[in-house]
Amino acid sequence: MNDTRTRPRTRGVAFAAVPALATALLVALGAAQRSGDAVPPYRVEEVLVSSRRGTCRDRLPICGCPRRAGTTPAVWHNCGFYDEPIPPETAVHSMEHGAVWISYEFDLSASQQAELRRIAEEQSFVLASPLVDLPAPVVATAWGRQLQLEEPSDPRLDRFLVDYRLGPQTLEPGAPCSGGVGEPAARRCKRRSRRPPW
Amino acid sequence: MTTPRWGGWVRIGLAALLLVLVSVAATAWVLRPVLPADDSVEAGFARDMATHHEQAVTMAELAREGTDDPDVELLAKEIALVQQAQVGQFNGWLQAWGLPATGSAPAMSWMVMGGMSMPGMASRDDLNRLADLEGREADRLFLQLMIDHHQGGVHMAEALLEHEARPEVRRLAEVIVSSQQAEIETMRAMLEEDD
Repeated sequence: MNDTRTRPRTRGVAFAAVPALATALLVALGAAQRSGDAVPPYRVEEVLVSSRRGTCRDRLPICGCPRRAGTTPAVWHNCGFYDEPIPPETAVHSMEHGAVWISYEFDLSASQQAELRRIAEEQSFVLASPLVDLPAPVVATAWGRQLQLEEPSDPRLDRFLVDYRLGPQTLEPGAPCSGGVGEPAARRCKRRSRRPPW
Repeated sequence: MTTPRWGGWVRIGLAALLLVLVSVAATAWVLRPVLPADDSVEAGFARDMATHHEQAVTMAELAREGTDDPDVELLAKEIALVQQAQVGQFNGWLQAWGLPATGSAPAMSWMVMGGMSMPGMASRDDLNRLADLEGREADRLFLQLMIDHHQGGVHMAEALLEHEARPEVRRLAEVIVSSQQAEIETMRAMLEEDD
């Protein structure tokens, strides 16, 4: 009879197929969870930030005075959005604490600056300030890592923040990005009429 | 009477499902996270380093209250905040590992040499003197005590690195070694500037 001859084979196939299908389904689900939105090719440059020991191998925007042993301890710069330049050595100190320093060209459009302001204000340990002679309109730097971008809306900026904000490159995890020097730029809102105090 | 055809398929299906479930369970059991034991190197390091750090915070706060020097104030603030945050990490790990803050083994017994007193710790007398002194004298005492304290901390972190340990524990130990060594140099420079 057909049944008795084909049965063992089909039984074997079914026995193998169910676990195989189940595994394939689980793997596919797992992969789907992880993929997220596609980010364009992402290559972060390794840069030598000014070393504590003294030799300053400068790469903009990490220019300026290195924190040499023998100088007074530099203060760190409070994170946030700045519309005026800040001293590079204080920004470098903030990066030692795990901050990402987003430096931008002065002639970035108002909406692009607003985008950077939003990024710097919505989370801690992000420092944004303008700088001259940048190699690109927007340069994101963390200690020893740098990414050059054409615009703030580039999805690679978010990825850089995920990878490096308080990331493994932080020299002093636990150190603050407040209580140092600097006052982030206030929003230029329309002045509201002041209510009298009584 | 022949068995209904679908009866056989149901049996196959159930058997296959059982196979899948058993293999998933076995894999999960094999890959289960193994947590450090109460007498592990990681637990010992977390507890003892937290104690050590807590004294650094105490000294830094004493120095900050009494000093007129903005650089000393800044350094003391940074030390207090960093080390307090790292104490948080140590305690967080112990909680995640299901371990109490107080171990059953004596302090420092996890270190290779074992049983030594905690290196670099200031005495009660030292802390009282730090609280009583003022101005430049207080600053100098703070820097000297903290240099010794950091050297002890570096020693303890290096001792952890001589053992096999979970990667995140080793990573923090490495950070402690490099950042505290850098701070030692800064503090030495501050003492020399004075002379």
